Amino acid sequence: MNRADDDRSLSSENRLLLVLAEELKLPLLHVSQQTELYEQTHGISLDGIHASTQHALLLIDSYVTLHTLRQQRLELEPVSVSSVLYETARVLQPLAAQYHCKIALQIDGRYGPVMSHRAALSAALVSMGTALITAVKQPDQQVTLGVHRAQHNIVAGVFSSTKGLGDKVLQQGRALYGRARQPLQSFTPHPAAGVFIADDLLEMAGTQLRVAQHKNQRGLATMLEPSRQLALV
Amino acid sequence: MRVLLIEPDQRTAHDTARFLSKTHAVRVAPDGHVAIQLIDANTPDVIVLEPAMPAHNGIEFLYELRSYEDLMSIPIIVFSTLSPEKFMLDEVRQTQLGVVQICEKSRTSLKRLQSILQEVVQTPA
Repeated sequence: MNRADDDRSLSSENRLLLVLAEELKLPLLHVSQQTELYEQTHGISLDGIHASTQHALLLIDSYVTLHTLRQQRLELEPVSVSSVLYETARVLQPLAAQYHCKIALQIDGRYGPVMSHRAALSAALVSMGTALITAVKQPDQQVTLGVHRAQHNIVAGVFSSTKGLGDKVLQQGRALYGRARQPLQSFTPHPAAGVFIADDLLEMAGTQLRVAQHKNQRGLATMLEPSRQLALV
Repeated sequence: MRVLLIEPDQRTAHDTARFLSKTHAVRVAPDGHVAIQLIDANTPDVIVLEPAMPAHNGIEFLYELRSYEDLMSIPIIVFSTLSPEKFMLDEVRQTQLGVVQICEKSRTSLKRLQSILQEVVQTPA
């Protein structure tokens, strides 16, 4: 049995984790909605609680998407990378605001479609963004969702002006998976889980997660192939 | 604006209804059966639906609603814990069933839902 087959047949532990993840969403939503209700009724901001629940919910969403996609054979299709980045920025905006972090979208030029899988790419970018936003410790930092051309590919990812953050976050995530060959006790689960999920999602979509640079900012990115279907038109 | 919230989870139903009731007249139905009764008693301007319902599946409920001529024009906002691919509503089916917006609860705050309701009602059919 190869890895793809192995991924598609969920073990009972994975099934339990999946059910647990789905069930955890409801109490977290209760907390999130009750903070909003409290704010509306009493005029007192509970941003901290709201931010924590949003972070947990985004992670759970990405984890559930990962498992849902593992059950399918992913067909790569032309995907508009700029629209995926735009949607990711929209999803991350409330979390970023609560972490006092600015979200910037840098799509300079026209990129056309790339070969990918929209749901996998989108969930991966949300996971990467969540990891970077929650790892930025200083207020008023900027997290950029950006895309640029490399020699043969298109590079899309999440970048931060905080020096070394992307490298550190990726290292933590890979340590969780054992790919960095680091001893288990060296990893901190936060914000590694998001990177771990993004790593797997991108691998399923036929690409890889890596540290990359975008306009003097470093972060987590993936290399995407331009769609050849469009090139033939 | 009259809003019918179809939500099987009691806690979510209570909090969502209370939040929205500052700006809208909200009634709550725990399932599709009660929802039809409430709609018959007083037709809402918009329906907010959690399709993950016990017994009467939410998508079946939408098909039922669209089979009644007098109710087929009520706009529906799907507000769900499930991601859209779980209940398999592609764009064509979405339009056929009168779903004007799909929102995941984990990514949509109650404040955002409130403004979506406003936008839906202001958009001409």
